[in-house]
Amino acid sequence: MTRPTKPERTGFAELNDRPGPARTSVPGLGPLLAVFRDLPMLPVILVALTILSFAIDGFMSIGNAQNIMRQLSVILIAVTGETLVLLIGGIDLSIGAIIGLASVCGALTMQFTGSPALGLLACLAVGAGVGALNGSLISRFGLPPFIVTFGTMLTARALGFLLTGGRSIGKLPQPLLEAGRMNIAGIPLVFILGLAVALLFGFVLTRTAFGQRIYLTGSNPRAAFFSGIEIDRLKFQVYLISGTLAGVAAYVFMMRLGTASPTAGDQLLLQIIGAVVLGGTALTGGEGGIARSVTGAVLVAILIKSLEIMGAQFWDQMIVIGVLTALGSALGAWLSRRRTRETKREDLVQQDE
Amino acid sequence: MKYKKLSMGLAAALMLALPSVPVQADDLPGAGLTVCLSLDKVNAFREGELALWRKAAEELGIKLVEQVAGEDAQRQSSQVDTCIAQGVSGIISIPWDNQAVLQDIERAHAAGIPFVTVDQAPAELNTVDTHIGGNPTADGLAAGKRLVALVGDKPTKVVDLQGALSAVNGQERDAGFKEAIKGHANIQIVAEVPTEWRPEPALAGMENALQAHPDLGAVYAATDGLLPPIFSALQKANRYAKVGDPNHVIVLSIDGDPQGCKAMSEGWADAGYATPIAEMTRNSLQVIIDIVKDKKKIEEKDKVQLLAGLEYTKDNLADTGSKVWGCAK
Repeated sequence: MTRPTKPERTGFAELNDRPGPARTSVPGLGPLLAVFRDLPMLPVILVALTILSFAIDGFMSIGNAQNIMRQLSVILIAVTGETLVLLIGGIDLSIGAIIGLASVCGALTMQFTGSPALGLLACLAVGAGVGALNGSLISRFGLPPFIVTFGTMLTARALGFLLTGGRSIGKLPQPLLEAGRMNIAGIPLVFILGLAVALLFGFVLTRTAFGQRIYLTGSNPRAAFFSGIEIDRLKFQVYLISGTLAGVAAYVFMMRLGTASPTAGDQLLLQIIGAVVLGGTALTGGEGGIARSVTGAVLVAILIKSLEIMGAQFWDQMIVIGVLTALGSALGAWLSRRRTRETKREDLVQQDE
Repeated sequence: MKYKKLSMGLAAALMLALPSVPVQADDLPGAGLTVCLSLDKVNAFREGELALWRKAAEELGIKLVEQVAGEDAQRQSSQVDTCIAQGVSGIISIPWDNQAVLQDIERAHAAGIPFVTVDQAPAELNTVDTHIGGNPTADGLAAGKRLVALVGDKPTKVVDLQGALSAVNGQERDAGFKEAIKGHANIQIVAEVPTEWRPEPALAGMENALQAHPDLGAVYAATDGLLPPIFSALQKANRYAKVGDPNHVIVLSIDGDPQGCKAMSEGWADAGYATPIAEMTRNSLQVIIDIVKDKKKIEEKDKVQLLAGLEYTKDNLADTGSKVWGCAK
C-alpha cells in the first residue's frame, strides 16, 4: 500500500499547523486560542477547577486528586479505543462487555496459574479476539458496526455470565492488588497506565500515517479509497485495537478493584460515549481526537466528584452530566462548523492570491 | 420606627429563606457522628431503606452523607474514597460487588474508619466490622415450603424469577427456594429467568413461560419489584385471578415492599416475606455508635446479623401488617 502524502487541506482537527489569519488574529494568544479551539473542554475544565477549588473545601487536596485519577484510569483506556473507532466513522458498543468478559477470563487464568502476567495475556487475547471478530464482520462482510458490536456485546456478556454464573471473582494475586494501590510520585499507577495508553495512541493518531489514514477514512471514505487506503484493512485494525484496549482496561479494572465480574463494564459504555461526545469528537467520523475525549472524561470525573462531595443526589448528578453532555456536543458541532467556514475562507483567500 | 419595622421584616424574610437546620441534641446517642451511606443503586426497595435510615439517623442524632453508585463498582469504590477523605465517623455500605468492597473495607480500616455492610454481604465476612442483612436462604426456603404446602401432590409448573445472580441475595434466595422444593417431583420449574432485579426481563420471561405453558401453576419472584410484570403477563394470558379462584396462579415473593403489601391485601398474591429493614438500618447505625462513641468491641456472635423475613399472607396481614415495612402508612 502506498503511504499517503500529507494532504494540504484535510479538514483534520488535529492538524493545527496551518497558517491563516484566523489563527493569528490575537497577537500572543494565537497558540493558546488554537489549543482551546481544538480542545473546547479544556477552558471549561480550568474554569471548573478554579471555581470548585474555592467552593469546595478540600477539593484540590492530594487525596481528592488521587481519587479522581483512580476513577479515570479505566475510562481513559476505554475512551482511547472508542475514539479511534468513532473517528473512522464506526461505533463499538461492545467495549463494556469486552471489559467484563476479559476481566473474568483474566481473573480465572490468574486463579488457576497465580500469574498476573498470564492474566494480562488472557485479557489481551479476549479483547483482541472480540475486536478481531467485530473488525472481520464489519470490514469483510460489510455489516453495520452498530449491529455487529451490539451482537458481540450481548454475546460477550452472556459468555461472562456462563463462565461465572454471574458471580464476581476475587482472591486475585497479591502483587496485582498491590500494584493497583501503588502511587508513583503521588500519582496512582493505574492512572499512569491509563494516561500512557491515551498518550501513545494520541501520538499515533496525530503524528503517523496510520493516524492520518484514520482521519481521512472517517471524514471522506471515497477520497480515502482513491488515495489508495485499504479501508477494510484499516477498519479491521481499528476494531482490533479497540478490543485489545478493552482487554487492557479490564486488567486495570482488576488492579484497581481487586475483582472481576461479567457486569464490570455495564456502566462504562455510556460513560465512554458521553466523555467522547462531550470532548468534541463527532459521532459521524473524521472529527475529533483522543486529547478531546480525555478532556471530556476529565470534566465528567471532576463534576461527578464535586457533586458527590457537595452531597447532590444521584439523579441530580445524572441530570447535570446529561445536560452538560448535550451542551458539550452542541458546542463541538458549532466549533466544527466554524472550522469548516474558516477553512473555506482560507481556501478563497489563497485562490485570490 | 420605620427602620425598625424594615429590619424586622428583613429578618423575618431571611428566616423564611434560610433552609431549616435540624437541631442535633448533644444527648442523643449518635450526636456528633457523621456516617457515610454508600448505596449500590436506587430502586423502590432502596428508597424504603433510605427513608428508614434517615429516620433512624435523625432519632439517633447522626448526620448522614448519602452516596449512590448506580450499579457501578468503580463509582462505589470512588465514593467510599471520598467518604474516607472527608473523615467520616463510619461507613455503611450496600455493596454492588461483593469482591470489590473488600478493597474498600481495607482502605477504610487503614484510615481507622469502621465499615458495616447491610443487605449484600461482602465475599469475606471476617473483613467487615459487622454485616447485617436479611437471611436470603431462609426466605427462599420458606417460600419453597409454602409452595409445597399450597400445591400438595398436584402437578405444578413454576416460573422462577431470579434476582441478580451476581448478588448474594439473588443467589441464595434462589438456592433456598430450590432446596425446599427438591424431592417434590410434582413441582417442576419450567423457566428460570435471571432478571437482575429488573422488570423487563421478568415480563419477557413470564410471557414466554405462559405461552409455552398456559397451565402454569406458580411464580416465585426473588423481589416484590417483579410483581407488576408478573401481573401484567398474567392479565395478558387471562390468568390474572385472585387467591381462591380456580384460574389463580400462585404468587410468592420476597421483600415486603408497598407493592407486595398491596398485592397481598388485595388477594393477588399468596405469601410474601418481608425483610426486616427497619431493624437492619437502625442496627447498622447503632453498630457505628457502639464502635466509635462507646468504644465497644463487637462480639464475634454479633458480627453477622442475619434477620429472617417475616412471612405474611392475606389471612395474617391484620396481625403482621404493622411489622411489614411496605404496609406502613
